[in-house]
Amino acid sequence: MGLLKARDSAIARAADVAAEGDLPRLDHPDAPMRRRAVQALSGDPASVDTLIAVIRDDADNMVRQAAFVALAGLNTGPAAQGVAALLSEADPALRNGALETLAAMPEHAAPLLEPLGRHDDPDVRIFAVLLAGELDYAATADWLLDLGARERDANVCSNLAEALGGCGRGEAVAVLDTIRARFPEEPFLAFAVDTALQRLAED
Amino acid sequence: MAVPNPAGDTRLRVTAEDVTAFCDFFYKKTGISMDAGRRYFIDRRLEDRIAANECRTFREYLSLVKFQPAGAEMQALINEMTVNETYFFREDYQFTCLTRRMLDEIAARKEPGLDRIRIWSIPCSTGEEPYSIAISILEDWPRASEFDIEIIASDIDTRALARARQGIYQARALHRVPPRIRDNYFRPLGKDSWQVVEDLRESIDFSLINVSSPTQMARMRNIDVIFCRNLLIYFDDLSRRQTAEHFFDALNPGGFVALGHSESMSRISNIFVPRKFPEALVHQRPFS
Repeated sequence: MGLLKARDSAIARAADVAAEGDLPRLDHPDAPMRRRAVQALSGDPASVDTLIAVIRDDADNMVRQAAFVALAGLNTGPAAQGVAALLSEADPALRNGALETLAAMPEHAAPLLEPLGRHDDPDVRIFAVLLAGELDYAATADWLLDLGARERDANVCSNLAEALGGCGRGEAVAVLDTIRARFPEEPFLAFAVDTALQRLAED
Repeated sequence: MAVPNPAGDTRLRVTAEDVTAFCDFFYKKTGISMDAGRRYFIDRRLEDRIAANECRTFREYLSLVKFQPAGAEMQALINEMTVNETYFFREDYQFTCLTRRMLDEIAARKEPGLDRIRIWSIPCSTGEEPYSIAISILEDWPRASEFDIEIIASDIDTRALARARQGIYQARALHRVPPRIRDNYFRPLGKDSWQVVEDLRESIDFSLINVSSPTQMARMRNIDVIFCRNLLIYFDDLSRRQTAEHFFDALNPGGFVALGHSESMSRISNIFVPRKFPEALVHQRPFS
């Protein structure tokens, strides 16, 4: 007993044991097998709809996360669009997963800010603002300024204030002032705007 | 395009565009996100490799790296670009956590004399970490003699692996090793130089692994503890998430991952459960 050198053959045997048994399927009763079926789809651009369906339908986190990572690895426009549609799902874990996945493909996520910013659901617009904060401000600052000029939901504007405070653009000062004026009855927004203005001044 | 070196020698200087192209290529091959802002670090190493291969332009060198069938130059480039500075018993609170907490939990699910405990150190660099793990287990885990324990040590840098197998270290790497431990597990090779004793060197399996390679990572299964410290800080978000997924698959249910003190699994992926032991915060693969 004690320390024993692992041989390549021993490691390979362990891998073989893990690979034995019945085949992975997306409808397999065991989550690890469904996860392996999802991983087998990695790199296949035609798998977007299947992966999105897995995320919506499979309640097991290990399966969902494998699907999110597979979508992020695809890094295509259709993958980003499929993931963006998940931002309007009711499950907060799913929405957060979608946000993280979109942030991992900034090139394809940035063009989606415009339609997301016009979504009827204010929660989706909040996620869009949070996504903009994860992307390069050089690519998103114009969109943040535009949304800040027209957004009528106080909770969205609260998130906007924070994002605008970090965008480093002088025009953000005027937009922040209009946000404050738009919600005179919301003291928390005045605080958010003050904080953002202070941050802009420091930058 | 590379520009001539004003120092008058024949070496080329790489441009900002070259470095950007190189960083993009290196990321795709290794998952390591080189900061193009670290020009002082990247330029010299890249120029050294261009000169060593007698390439006339950066593009010529990049073509060589991309299309050389055996991949020898890609490996040389990886060896140059990776950092291997470490020492014995670095962040040793995690080794204390291993021998006081994690191994007992793992052993409780195993059959003494029958099941193996498998520990993976990645990246192992020049070997200080896997040797520290081995010594910690032999010295501090009372049940070490009841189980066969395998320590697998992997790195992307072949030169570091060769040094790890050789097990020769200067006094600086041993500055946290108590004299009694040093005398038991090392033999002096001369002034300020020590070598890990042969039995210990032979007990660790050193292997070349690129964590960005799904094929290579798929070889690693049935692991009980992974030490992956100060590697993910060099990765971008997607590579971190993909690596976390690979670790999840490599671990047995209930297995642990120990990251570096500045790294946080909760910011990378939510597939692990945080376990706060008195000595350290580690991350556990759920049992189901």
